[in-house]
Amino acid sequence: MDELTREFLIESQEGLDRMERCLTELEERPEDRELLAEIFRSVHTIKGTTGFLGFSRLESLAHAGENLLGLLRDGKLLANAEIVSGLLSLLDILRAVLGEIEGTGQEGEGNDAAMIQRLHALQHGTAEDENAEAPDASGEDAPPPKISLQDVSPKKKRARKPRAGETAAIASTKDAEIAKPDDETKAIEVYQAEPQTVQTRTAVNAAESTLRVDVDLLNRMMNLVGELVLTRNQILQMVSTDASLAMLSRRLDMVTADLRESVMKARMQPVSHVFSKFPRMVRDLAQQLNKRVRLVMEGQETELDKSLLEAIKDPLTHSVRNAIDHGIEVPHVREAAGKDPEGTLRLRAYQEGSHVVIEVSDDGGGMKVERIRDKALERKLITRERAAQLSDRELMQLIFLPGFSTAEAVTNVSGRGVGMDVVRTNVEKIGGKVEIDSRPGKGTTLRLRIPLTLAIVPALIVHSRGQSFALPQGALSELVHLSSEQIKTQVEWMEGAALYRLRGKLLPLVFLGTLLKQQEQTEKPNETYIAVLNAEGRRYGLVVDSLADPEEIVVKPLSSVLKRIGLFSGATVLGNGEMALILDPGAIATQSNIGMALEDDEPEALETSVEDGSAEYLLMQSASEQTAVPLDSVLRIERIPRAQMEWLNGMPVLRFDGTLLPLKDGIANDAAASPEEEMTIVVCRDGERHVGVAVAQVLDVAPGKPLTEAGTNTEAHDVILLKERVTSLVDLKRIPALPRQSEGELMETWEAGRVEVLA
Amino acid sequence: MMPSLLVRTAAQDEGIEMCSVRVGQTLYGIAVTSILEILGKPAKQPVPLAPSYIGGLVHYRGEVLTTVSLRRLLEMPAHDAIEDILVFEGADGYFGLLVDEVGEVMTVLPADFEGNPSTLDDRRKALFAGAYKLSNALLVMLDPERLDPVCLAETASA
Repeated sequence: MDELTREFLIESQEGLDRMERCLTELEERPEDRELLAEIFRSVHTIKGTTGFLGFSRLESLAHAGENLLGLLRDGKLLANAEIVSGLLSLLDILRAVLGEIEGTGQEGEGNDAAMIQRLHALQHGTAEDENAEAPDASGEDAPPPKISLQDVSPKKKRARKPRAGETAAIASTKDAEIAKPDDETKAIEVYQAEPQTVQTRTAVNAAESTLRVDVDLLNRMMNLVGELVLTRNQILQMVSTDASLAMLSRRLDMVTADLRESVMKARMQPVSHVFSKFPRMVRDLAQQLNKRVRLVMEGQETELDKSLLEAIKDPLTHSVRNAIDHGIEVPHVREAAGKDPEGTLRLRAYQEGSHVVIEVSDDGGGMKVERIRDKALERKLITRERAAQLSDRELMQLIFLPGFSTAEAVTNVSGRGVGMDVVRTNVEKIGGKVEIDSRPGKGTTLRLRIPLTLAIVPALIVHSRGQSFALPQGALSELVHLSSEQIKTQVEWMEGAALYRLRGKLLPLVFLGTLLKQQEQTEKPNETYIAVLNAEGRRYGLVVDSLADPEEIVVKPLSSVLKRIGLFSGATVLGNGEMALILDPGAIATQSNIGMALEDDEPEALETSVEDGSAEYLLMQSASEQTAVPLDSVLRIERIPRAQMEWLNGMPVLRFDGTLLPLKDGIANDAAASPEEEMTIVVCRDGERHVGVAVAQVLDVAPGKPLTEAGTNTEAHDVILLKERVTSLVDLKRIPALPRQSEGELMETWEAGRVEVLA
Repeated sequence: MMPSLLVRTAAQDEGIEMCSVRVGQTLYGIAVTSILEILGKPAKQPVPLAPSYIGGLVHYRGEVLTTVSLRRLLEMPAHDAIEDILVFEGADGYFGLLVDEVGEVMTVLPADFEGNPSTLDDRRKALFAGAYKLSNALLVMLDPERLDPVCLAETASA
């Protein structure tokens, strides 16, 4: 395919996407002239270029569409649902033909007579009561200038001039008839007269500020940057002894982080790329199901890595379908419930830390837990005894089980048994999470939590029989250390299945060395770690010999032969230059037959404890006392050397992934602390922002009870009873916010530092 | 080695340049044109549960290179010496071939070529592409396409 055709395909597809968006909006605002002009331009461009490239089928289709749109634009016709449907099906055919061209280079065979006929009928259907000649005239009027455009392209300008006059004349006679405000029509005349010039102008503007880059090139760049990150990591590990080199390497560190960020940004695309197809889909579905749905989209400018955007397309489409099919009720049911007959579907995207959250919420009937339970029992997904034990929230999670669907009738929209489990699997495959929240009668909210990027993931490096493996931290919920004595006493065996009692619950164990059939080492390790993993809702403990530091790893794909093993999701090069395979927690669970049945235990424990007023807390050792933070606010725990802590206006901060984390230094007064000594940073969520609490070590997780003051019986603030000891809570709100203004200055000083390096 | 190459450029129209490699006692030849790069004794990472002929992973220009061990393909006993790697482009990206040692480049004449003998066992018949008769030995021809892990995965399972 030649460059010109390829360019044409890209442009046309973009035009059609724009047209689709506008068409659905047009239904709500049928008189919006700007929308009409935009749609007209898209079709017109296709027509103009196709004629030039010799795609006659496309040309005749676009021509028929343009005639109809011309009438709409001139106000001779008012867009109604029928017309919009007609135009939408034209859009589908155009897309199909473009697809054909992309695949084969040919337009393909197809009979478009029916479509053209339909568009023609629409043109006349409503225009009949008007002067019958007028639409015909303008209809036939359109082609000649196009032909002259192709034939005498050098004379383009001159050929166009008289045409402009012509149209103006027709339009002005029309003016008298429909009595439109003068200048508005003028504006349209300008469009009509010189659509080509208007287009070129906007195209040039876009071309000045943006540049089309081949995705392959971007991928390659990303790869190289990843490589640079690895090299940097290696250098950082090597230079810890030499002071001046350490200085230089820190700069290298900064530049690399910056470069990585910019390349990553280049791969980012706004979620509107995916969102844009929903107005059409929602409209079609609603019509099909006789429902009335209003689509509200927020945060379309939120950006996500291109490959991730691709990956969430299907899960998101599915969720939207589900919301319309199962969520929003038919108008009379809604009215009976005292709700607006028109349901609202809300798509919202926003960034939260290193994740993008996409919410699909409807104001429909919500999920009825009884029905979910009955369905799950009917499908034998859970046992009756088990169902009786589950809380409402847990019952809701059952919809993520494979083979679950509550739709009464199998519609062609959804309800074929493939459903939420696919959504969850797909989202978790890219390191994301799915949460569901539903209130009967009020509606359901599905939350997809997607990492910002795929290429670089935080991972914990573990060792098994002398070999390093990377364990993605997304699936890791906690680590348990067992000494050789504890291995003997605390790991229990049930007919060959190893189990560990984690806070009273049995956790199935998988021994990594055994699973991978690695050769036994002669000397038995005298200690073991259990990495408690939560993979796609399945909880288990992965037993490894030892742990190394967490590391940001660059994921490299494996060759197909090695992918077939099924336990590794990729490979990476560690900071020390060693290669490590990346473990796939989900696949390990599947191969080890870790079932879903046991997974609900943990949330249950949390749930019940929250209900009786005692949430779980993370108990930490500060300098001299024990403090605690609520467990649900803890994002992650990191160990870093004290030297990494920096000071900003007398306030301790930590640079983290290029972001600044305000700290509460719980061990500042510890005189014994040397800069090299490692400290533990508990990263917590405080509202929207993240804050860090520096402590000597993390002790335990335990349920805490609120304390009341003697006499007054009022609940005491910032203090709880934890493990039968009075423990103070760290007030996260008290950690000072970053100074907004000086943040800029700080950036400037960094900037200055960088200039120095370049100089 | 270099001078001999220069001298032979005249005869290159007929001669084919072969990179000789050694595994065990046998000398194997691979067409120079198919080799992308030769890596000298890099560190490799074993892959648990991989097919036996997989020699491990090697870091190669920002990519993860899957290597095939000729030694294990031929069911020869493993040895501890670090091996050289030849890099090829296969159906599924690059792959490496582990050999005991890379030797010199030699030019062979098509006239000296003969196909696999019928007495060769089936496994070797599938791997070897015939041999060139050298004055003092045989140069067993290897065809990178047949050593591609994608191809091996199919033949091994059959």
